[in-house]
Amino acid sequence: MGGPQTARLLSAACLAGAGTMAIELSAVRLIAPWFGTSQAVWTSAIGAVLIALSVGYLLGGRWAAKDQPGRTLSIALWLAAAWSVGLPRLAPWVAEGLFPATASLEQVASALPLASLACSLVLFFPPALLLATAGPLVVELIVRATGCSAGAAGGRVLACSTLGSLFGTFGTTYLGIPLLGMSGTLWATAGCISCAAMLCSRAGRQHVTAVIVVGATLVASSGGHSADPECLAVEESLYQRVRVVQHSDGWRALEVNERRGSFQSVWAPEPGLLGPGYYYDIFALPHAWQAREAQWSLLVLGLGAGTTWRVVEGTLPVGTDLLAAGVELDSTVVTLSHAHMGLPEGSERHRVIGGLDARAAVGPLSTELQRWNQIVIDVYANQVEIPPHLATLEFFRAVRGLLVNGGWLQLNVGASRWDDPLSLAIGATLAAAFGQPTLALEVPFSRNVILVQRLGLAPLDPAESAFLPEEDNMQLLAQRLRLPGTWGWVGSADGRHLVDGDAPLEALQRASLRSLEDAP
Amino acid sequence: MIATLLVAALCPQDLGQAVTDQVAAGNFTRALETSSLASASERAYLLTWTRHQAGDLTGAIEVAREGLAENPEDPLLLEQASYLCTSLLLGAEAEGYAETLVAMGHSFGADRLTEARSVLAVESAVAEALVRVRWLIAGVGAVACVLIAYGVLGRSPRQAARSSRAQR
Repeated sequence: MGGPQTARLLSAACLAGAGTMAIELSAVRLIAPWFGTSQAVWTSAIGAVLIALSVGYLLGGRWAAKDQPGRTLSIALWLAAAWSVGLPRLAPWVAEGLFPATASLEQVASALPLASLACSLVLFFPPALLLATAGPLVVELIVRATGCSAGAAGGRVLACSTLGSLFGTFGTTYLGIPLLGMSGTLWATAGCISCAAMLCSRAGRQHVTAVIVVGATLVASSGGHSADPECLAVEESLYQRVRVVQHSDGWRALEVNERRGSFQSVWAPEPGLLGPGYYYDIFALPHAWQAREAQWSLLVLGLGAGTTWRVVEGTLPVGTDLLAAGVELDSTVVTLSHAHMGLPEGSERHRVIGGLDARAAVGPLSTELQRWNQIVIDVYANQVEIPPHLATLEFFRAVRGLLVNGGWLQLNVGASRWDDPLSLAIGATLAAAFGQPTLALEVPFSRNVILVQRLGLAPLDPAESAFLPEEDNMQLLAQRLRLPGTWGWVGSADGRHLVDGDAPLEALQRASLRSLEDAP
Repeated sequence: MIATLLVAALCPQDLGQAVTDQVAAGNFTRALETSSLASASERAYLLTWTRHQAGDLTGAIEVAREGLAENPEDPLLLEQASYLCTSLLLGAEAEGYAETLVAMGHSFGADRLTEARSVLAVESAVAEALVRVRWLIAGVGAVACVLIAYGVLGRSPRQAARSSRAQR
């Protein structure tokens, strides 16, 4: 049942499997600049590929009955290779043609699932369908060549194809995207698929023609990219596309995935308060609310480019040193921030824990002696989603254990009202973890709410004069925060408690958006 | 507060200045208290303006809506409301206020109308895109169904129907 021809065909099945997974995994990354990488976008991309696979298997089965399945397979694979080569150029054209690039995140939020599905279908349905025809066609070719049973041939083809998918999965995530970037990964994928095409049928004129077509597509796809003069650096990380952008006023922003006017971190030429509209400024209030200390210790979960450090450090009174630590999941963000966003290199006073999830970091941090005056939780995935495991009672209890007595916990929530469903649920969960009501503050000129808790003491009441710090600029910020109607107390019974087994953050975020749309 | 009450009682025209001064000093809560002492015609504008200056845009538009329900042709309030709605990406509502201003002959209405319509243009572009997107998904779905029929039956649904008619 062996033989060189069977080996060639099985290799082709393996390469086609690898190509399918590479395209599937690249799919979300490719459309991320326009649609993000939320679960809805993943669902769209995987759904489009699964529909294509289903249709492709059927078509492959039909084509297997024809006279020259080898030639058919070769043509299908060459077409898939040509499509893959063109994907990096095709994606912006399709995404911007389908959906206006000027719309903000708020304007497109509810339309993203459908738009990403349409974009995925246009971009990924054709190559995935063509690659799926390989399975049945290779089975047929092996049966015809060796006379073995369809079951035996099918088993071997499935095994090789799945093995290829495994290589495609790990290779794309850990080698392709980090080393070659998005376009390079797709071009390498096209190379693999081209090899598969050549393995399936004898060398002939059609291969030469196909190589010319794929090469021409590659040339057309790789040329003509205009450099963005504002962009200081761009990297594909394990999680997202990260860009550092320089603005004309000297400020810099670290953007991830979909741009649409949003950013992950900002850098201002001078440390200290950033001004109206930036929620980071509220993280500077706790040290101003307390009696002056020689050292202020600050732990940031979701460090990004270290904007919170810079704001707090720039507002500390003379004579108070900052001892800062930060946890950032995406180590590429850390590297770019060291280079372009003024994030201090690791030292005794500035400790950066890169490449670790905040939840995973809390355990090791709790074994250390250091307890913190202030902990800031600013954790977001895909720009707009709080990861569910970082908003649960179990997590908040663990974080509470890292605070000094009287220490402050602040958590950033993307919500425009302090009493919307998302703020209430997270606020109530925090209240349950700390055994007292949570203070919820709407951020002026922004769609953020900051939740405040304190270990062993109640957070300051905005209605009381102690809420106003002595420093003028901090007092102005606190004055804005204490406006009646823009803050409130969230008790443990005011919202559902989010726990590890039941934290429907996406549903709450949708409810939060709906509450905005339903407003009169 | 007593001083503000005195100002309200003796010279109501100075209330606006008192609110402006309090906002400039960052004393937004006091400015709200002072605003609430103003006459019905001024109260809504001052409350809206104070909330806007403090950064509470959603609170400001709620106050403006209440004020406009009582006094729908207050030009200052209409201008504020249109500006706030544009900031909050509520294009249709912003356009409505701006159109009222233009109809009333106020010069600043045109600028507000332009801003409101730029938000509306993006909104309608998103709505049009959604229609395109739905058609596209339906189209690809139809192609997939035809291909599945071809894969399962060995012929397209039209061919299958034709041959079944021929058999009959």
